[in-house]
Amino acid sequence: MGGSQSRFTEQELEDYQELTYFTKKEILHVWKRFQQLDPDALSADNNAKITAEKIMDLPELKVNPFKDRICKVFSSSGDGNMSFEDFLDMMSVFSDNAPKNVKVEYAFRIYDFDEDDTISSGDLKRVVDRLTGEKNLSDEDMQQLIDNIFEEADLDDDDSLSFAEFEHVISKAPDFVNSFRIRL
Amino acid sequence: MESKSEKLHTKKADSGENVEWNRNIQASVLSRLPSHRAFNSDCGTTLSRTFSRSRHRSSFASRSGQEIVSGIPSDDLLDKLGFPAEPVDTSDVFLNEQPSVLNHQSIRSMTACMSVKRYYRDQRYGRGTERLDSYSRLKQRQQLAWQRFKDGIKNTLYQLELWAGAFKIIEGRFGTATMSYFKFIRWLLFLNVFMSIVMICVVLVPHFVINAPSTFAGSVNVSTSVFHYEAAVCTNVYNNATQELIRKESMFQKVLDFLQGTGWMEPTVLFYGVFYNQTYGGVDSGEDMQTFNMSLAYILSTGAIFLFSLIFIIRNSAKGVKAGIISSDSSLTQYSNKVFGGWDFCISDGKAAHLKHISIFQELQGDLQNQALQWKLARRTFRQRFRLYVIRFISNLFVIVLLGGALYLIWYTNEQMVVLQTNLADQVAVVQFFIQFLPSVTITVLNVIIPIICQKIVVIEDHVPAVEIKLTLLRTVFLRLASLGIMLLSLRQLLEGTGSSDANIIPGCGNKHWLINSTDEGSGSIKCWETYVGQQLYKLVVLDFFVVVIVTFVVEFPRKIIYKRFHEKVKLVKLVGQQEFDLPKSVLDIVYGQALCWIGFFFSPLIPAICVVKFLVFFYLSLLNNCIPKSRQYQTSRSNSLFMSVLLLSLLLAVLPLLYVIMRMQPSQSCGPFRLYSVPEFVFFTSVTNTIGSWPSQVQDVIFFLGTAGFLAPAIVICVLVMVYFIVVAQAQEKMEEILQEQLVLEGRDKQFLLARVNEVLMMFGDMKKSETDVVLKQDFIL
Repeated sequence: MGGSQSRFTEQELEDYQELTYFTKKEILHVWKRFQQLDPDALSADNNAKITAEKIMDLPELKVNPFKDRICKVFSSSGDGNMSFEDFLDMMSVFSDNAPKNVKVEYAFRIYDFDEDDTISSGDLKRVVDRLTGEKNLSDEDMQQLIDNIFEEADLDDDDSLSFAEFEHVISKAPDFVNSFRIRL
Repeated sequence: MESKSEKLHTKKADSGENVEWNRNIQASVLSRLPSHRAFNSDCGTTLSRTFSRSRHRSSFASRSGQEIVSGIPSDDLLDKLGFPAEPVDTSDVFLNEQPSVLNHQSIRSMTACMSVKRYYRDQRYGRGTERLDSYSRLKQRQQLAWQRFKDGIKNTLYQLELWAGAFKIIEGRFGTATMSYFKFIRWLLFLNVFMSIVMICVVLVPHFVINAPSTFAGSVNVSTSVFHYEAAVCTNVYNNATQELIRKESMFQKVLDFLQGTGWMEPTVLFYGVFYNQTYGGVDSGEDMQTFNMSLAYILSTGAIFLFSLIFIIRNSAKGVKAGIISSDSSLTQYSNKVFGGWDFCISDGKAAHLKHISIFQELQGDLQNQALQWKLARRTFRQRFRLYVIRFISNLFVIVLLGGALYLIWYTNEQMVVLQTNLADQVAVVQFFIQFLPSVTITVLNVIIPIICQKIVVIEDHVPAVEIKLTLLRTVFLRLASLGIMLLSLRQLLEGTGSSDANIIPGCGNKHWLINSTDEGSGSIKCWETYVGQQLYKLVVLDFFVVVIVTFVVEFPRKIIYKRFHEKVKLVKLVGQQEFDLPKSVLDIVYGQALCWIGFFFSPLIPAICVVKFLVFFYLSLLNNCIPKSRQYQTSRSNSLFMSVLLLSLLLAVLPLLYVIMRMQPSQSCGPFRLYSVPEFVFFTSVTNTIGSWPSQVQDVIFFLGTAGFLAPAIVICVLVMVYFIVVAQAQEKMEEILQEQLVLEGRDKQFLLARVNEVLMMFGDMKKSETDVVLKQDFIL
């Protein structure tokens, strides 16, 4: 623990504590896990970027069907490579202390595969395919499911979910807050 | 020729370009919508919403001229139709906002990367201090200090969290629903620790520390009143009888006694009987001897424990109820819930992930099939519906008969136990042992068999799966709690029954069964009924504990090993399958144990401590993960509210018998803190009234007034009125929500209409413009 503490100044730790939902101990813990991914690159420079493949090797992310989207959304350079600050940001949003509205915003970006600020039926199809894993729903089932979801959520009938509609439907979904968590 | 082919080429490019062109226009219009701009700004949508709300509240004069949030597109006809607008920051607004709106939470909740957040934080709290007056600066510093203090506390609490490591593993393997079960065990564990601490501090510590007169006889002046004399005599007889019994026992019987709570265990602090009002105080210093009023302490600690349990349960279930009400229309949003909240991000185990994928797939498919089925069923013929209702009626009847039969069986075995005990009083110790455990074993066996039967029956009734689960659960809960209730009823019948015209049974010293026959053989007579009740409950607790331990080791371990070794080879093994983790059943087991604890701690102060040990063992046994996660996943949200409501129900079940005992039953004069009567019709509660009677008369009047009908009736009426008010408000808000939803739909349609018109206009303009650019392009080619 002493080793990791000396990598950051007191001021930096205070900084991180103010800007994320973590306490100092938790930040150091996150650093420890991050360092294990690629110790060599990080021994030189605290702010080195780690490639997306290495991040997706993290046990908590390895089996997640949305791991590539997660890396893309949280990476500050937009290509999936994350520095420690990006990683800390990500874990902060996924922690228990983050409020629901923050999680909802990021969830929307994760589920928006084509990044057009709406979740269209193409996006939904990809989400469901990722969720069901190896087996896929039949085409008619998929269409029926997408229709059902639009019926529940799409209030203005434009065949896509804007952020407001997504937020509205999530407020009625009790399982979201409990499942949108990662603990390191 | 060249120009012809080129013309063709440009023509094709034209039509392709046309589609591209239109798409570009639509995209550029969409990206300038205020909602999109807010979404893409650094602050994110929700933060921008806060700002716009506060800007509306501020006066007109102080609003900045630039209407950023409302996002009026530039007059430049979308920048000559070529380039979509850059998403404009609303973050400038952030920097200029009043401090009352902003605090650290705003910075943390910005949807931007760390460097951007840092920039804004520095801008906001770094510069601009010269603009703030000293008061705001002070407030700012205060906020920072308070935030740091809170973070410090969180830091320490984080380290103290019990079983945090184990929970992480469980989360990874089983998902959050099972995690909530373990969190529930941990919460109950803390509740039990609290209960044992209270009982130990209030009752046990004084008993050991204030060791003044070491026996009851020594502490009481026999000549004070006839009740003192009676109490002394009865205590004497009881103690002698107990000593006799202990003397006559063999070593083997002594071992059995540990499990039953009889014999040498009876006069220990485990049971109620040994406590009495002890005196302390300096005889030397000439003061009067002060009495530690053990009876008052006993009752007050009981009341305090129930009150705190109630408060804790309500606190814990408030969150669940709130979420439950918001998602009350759950049938409507189940698909979105399953898709967007379906994947458990905590899962880190490959096998668990695979199982989760399969379960999501099966659930989605099942729901879609159900939907198709329901459309078909809606068109059920009258005949089919009639048949279904008849079937349901018969099965419900059957279940009621079954439950009633089970309850009667429990009653019967309780009665039989006493009869057998008197008849076989001189039998071997082992036989006696089994007779003692007869009712408890009956209850346990019934609790195993009947839920299985219920599960089979509910399939016949052909309900939606969610309703199926609820029905089975309801029936099982009813059985468990009712069996406890019946046992208590039969105990009451035994202890207060007026039907004992049997001349052999002689009451005395507050006990109905003081002497079984006139020669007082000893065994079979109940000389201290509170301890007797304590013993019955103690037996139940012990049996519950052993059943779970034994079942885990004898049934589940071998099953797991057999499955591992043989499931490839022997088909039968594969058919039976692995033990699945049945969440509702496990929860009911835990709640049943807790109900026993609540009922029992009045008669046996150490039962909470035993329950602490029991829960610890349960936890570590469950951790050994003999079971695989259930293929049909149980939803977390429903789990929590389920646990809490069953727990609340069992708390109520525990309070009612105790209330009856305290208010109506006469304590025995041979044991316990209440053995000193003050009036012939002394009940437990009389000691409290006696204490109140020693207070000044005004206070007495107030307190007694609180108990009269003159106070209670208006109080109840007021409570009912408040409840009705809240119900009406809730209904009005539901109506409001409907109205707002309809408004939203209409607004959405308006927006689409307007967007379509805008696109039309732009396309017309674009066509005109395009013909100009066409010429330019052609010229370039030719050149």
